[in-house]
Amino acid sequence: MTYIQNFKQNNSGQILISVVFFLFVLISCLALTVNVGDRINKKIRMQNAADAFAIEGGLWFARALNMISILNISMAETLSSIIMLKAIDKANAKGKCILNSNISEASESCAEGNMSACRWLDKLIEIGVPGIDSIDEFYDDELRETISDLWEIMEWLEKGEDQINAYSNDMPLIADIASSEGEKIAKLNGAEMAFWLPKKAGLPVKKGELTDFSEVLINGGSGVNNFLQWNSILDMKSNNIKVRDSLKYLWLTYNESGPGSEGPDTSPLIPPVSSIYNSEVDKVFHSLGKSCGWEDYKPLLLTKNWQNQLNFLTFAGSKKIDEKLTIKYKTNVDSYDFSYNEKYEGVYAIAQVIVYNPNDKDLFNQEWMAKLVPFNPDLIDFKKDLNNSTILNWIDQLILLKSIIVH
Amino acid sequence: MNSKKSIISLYVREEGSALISFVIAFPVFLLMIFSIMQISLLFNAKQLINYAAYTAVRTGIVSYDSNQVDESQVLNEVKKSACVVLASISPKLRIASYDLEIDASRLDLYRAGLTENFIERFEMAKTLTLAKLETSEDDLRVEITYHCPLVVPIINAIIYKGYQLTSGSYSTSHSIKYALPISATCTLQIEKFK
Repeated sequence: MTYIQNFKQNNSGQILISVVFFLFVLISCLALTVNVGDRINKKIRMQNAADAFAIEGGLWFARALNMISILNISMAETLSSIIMLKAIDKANAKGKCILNSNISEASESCAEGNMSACRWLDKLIEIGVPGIDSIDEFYDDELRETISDLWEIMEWLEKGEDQINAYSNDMPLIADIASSEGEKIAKLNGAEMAFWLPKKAGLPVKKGELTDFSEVLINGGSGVNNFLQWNSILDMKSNNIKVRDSLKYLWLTYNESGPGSEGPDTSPLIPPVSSIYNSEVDKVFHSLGKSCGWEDYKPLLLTKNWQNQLNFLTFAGSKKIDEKLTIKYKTNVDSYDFSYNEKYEGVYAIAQVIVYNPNDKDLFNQEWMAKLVPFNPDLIDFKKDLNNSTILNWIDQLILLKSIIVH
Repeated sequence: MNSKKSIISLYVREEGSALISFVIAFPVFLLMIFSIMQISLLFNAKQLINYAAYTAVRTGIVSYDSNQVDESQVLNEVKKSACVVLASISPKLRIASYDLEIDASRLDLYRAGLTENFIERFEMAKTLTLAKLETSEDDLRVEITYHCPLVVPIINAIIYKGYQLTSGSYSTSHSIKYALPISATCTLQIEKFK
């Protein structure tokens, strides 16, 4: 019997061929399903990592801006307190002098039998004497000491603002923190590499002028729910005299004119307190400010194109996909191509975040937040970072990313 | 004599039995293999639709702005991002010529560096996909229904008929003969302004 005849008659192994074929189909179908699922899981994880990175980094910027806001508000409030204390100081001195001269004049004409002068004398004593009498040298020294302490506080607050806006390692401090902290979180979320763009973006702030405080002081700021309001200061009592009354005396000294015979309550010369106050603050800022050397203390304000500077991009990616079930094919490529392929195979995700302020957009309220926005590469200025070769690679990847769909 | 002998020999001989059993069993095997292929494609599609729902709802929460909500615009964005994912399993939609000047959304896709191949699939995915938005207080819920084309012969008709018997027919806007609607939902919290 020849070999061929034997082969023809032997039936064993027939089923093996179909089993091998069908098993191949079955396993490749299974591999397809498992691999796609794996890739999708990884893609979702990368998206979560990129989102977490973006939110974390953006929040650090928001925190810094909120910190600057609270320091600005503190500076404004300290300044307002200084103005008030100066007003009290001045009013105490001049008010005492005016009251005394008025009282002596009124008592003279009262003694002559002028009844209206007697009524006027009663009023003056009722308003002024309990407070004025208790003002002594000790109190004045305390007041001046407090004012100089407040100037020291102003200095510290300004130093604090400079610290937040500082540089470390040739990089804005806040950008350093945002990118390193965010990268940490992206890696905890499973990313093998994570980037933050633009890398060296600092806070969009610049030094303002002292007069930038005046608007906030007069009208109140936008984030001033807990702002020390002028009315509440005016109702405060210092040494038994209301600040409001001290300011009235201060106003009297500026006008260089005594009260009419009708008495202070009915005098048309005393305007509403708010207008006294406004004119006083304007006066302080525009004429007295420079002579006092106050222009050394400046708030930090937003720059013109701050919105573009608070727009950030994050990448999160894993370099290689470990396919669970795969039939690998090898290609003959040199090392350069291989590295390129490696990038191409990876799973990437991209997220964009803005730091924004839902209400008034200035640095006098503390409502800065971070929010994810739809990815739009046109909004981001890459030119600053283009010198860096690694970033050029990322931009290549960005272009790739837009053409790769998970499959 | 001869014919009787041949009939007897037919009972006795065993040479063709394997062939006959093969002929009977092969269609069943083939059907089984086809069903394995079709079902694995459907599982694959199900995974991608789940992912599409995730990307869609992420797009939704990111572009949702409670101060100026334009629901139809959000829905449009949501559907677009789902279709970008689902384009990879959609067949091509043959379009005679592209009028790039008119269709701005397609121009955007070209500018993004996407190939014509992708855009044809993307257009098809748009006809196959239905998106639904639901908002409760802080949550956005997106339901993506994708009419998955059944491509493996024989078994596609069986699955389609089975679907029609159990769930009735669906209203279609696409030109695919056999398609199975698969839906996925995903809910995420909206990134809202205060």
